[in-house]
Amino acid sequence: MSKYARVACAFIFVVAIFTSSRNISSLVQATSQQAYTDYLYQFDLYRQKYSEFTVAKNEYLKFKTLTSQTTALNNTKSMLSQRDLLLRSYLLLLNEKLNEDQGLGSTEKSTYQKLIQNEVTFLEDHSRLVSNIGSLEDSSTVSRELESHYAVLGASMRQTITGVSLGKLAVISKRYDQALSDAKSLITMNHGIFTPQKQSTIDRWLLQITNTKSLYQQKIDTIASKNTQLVGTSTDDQSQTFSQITKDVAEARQYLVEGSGYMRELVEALRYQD
Amino acid sequence: MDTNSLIPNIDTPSHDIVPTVSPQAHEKPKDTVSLVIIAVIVILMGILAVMGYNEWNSRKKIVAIPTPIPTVTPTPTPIRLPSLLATQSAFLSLDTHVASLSTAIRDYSVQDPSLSPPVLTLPLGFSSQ
Repeated sequence: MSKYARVACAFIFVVAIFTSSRNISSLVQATSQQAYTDYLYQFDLYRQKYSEFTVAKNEYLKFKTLTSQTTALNNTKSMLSQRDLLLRSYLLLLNEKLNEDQGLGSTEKSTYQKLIQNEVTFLEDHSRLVSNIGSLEDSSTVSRELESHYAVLGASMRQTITGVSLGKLAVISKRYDQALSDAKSLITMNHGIFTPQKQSTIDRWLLQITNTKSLYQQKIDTIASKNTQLVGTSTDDQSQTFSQITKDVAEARQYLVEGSGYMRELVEALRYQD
Repeated sequence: MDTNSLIPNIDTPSHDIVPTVSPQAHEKPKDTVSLVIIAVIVILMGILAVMGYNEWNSRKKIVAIPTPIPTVTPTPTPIRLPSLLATQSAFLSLDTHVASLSTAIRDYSVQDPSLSPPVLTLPLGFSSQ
């Protein structure tokens, strides 16, 4: 094969790899979008079936006839089954978001995916119990199985949501670190082109940008610590802790906003001699 | 022929006898006075007209002083010399990198609304059978 033919083949190979990677990325995003659409559909079905269950239950509680009891039982089974499908679709959505994430380490990601998988397994087992319900007493017992497990399910969901947020922040944080590193290299390689006074100012500003990043990292560590505290608490406590985590995520983002603002100022200072 | 009628009776005053005076002799002084009065009036009117014209003319001649419009003299922008870094590819790359970083941070959303967990009412609500 001639030299030019080999170069052409290599070029075509590189283009093919690049195109396929972009297609995979858009496929992944399409998957999470599809998971979200499916979740919304399951939620609509659940609302409908819950409404039918409520009507049938109230009718049975009022009239206590065998017919109303049978209707109530059928609607209860249908609603409980749909509830499991809804929660399962939500967990799959979380899983797709984790698959999309590019900021979390592989260990962290697999921890969250394990949490999701455990809950999906529980819901599948619960679905089998629902299908075997034979009476309203059975339905109450099976429902209480989910009720007693719901705090664990809630904690897993909230931990995963926090993990997804941290993953997105980690991607931005890496870009921040790269920009800071590039700035430091540029200044070091061109040391002496500015007046001593201006060089001193630039060094101070670099330090300020580095310190802001440190504050961001401290906030991230706090969030990660609080995230582990979600397990083993009641649903109300989980909501409270989760609200605090959300505030902490906003504060972490604010540190990045400040740091990037300082970097813009540094770039402008480097642009001019005085 | 009765001659008595031809001779006037001088002794008896006759009220019928009226000294005859020419009517034009009475009108002459009256005409003069009127003329004088008219002339005086015309002269006075003329004077008033002239005075009024002068007044109007003088008002017309008042020129409004134009309001001075302050002109803003722009402050000259200090010319800043670009540094030796400004044209280096590493600097230009850093500039682009920092701009895209700012955009990425600005676009980051703290809460993803699509990930809000479903809120469910769990207890069934059947009383003990």
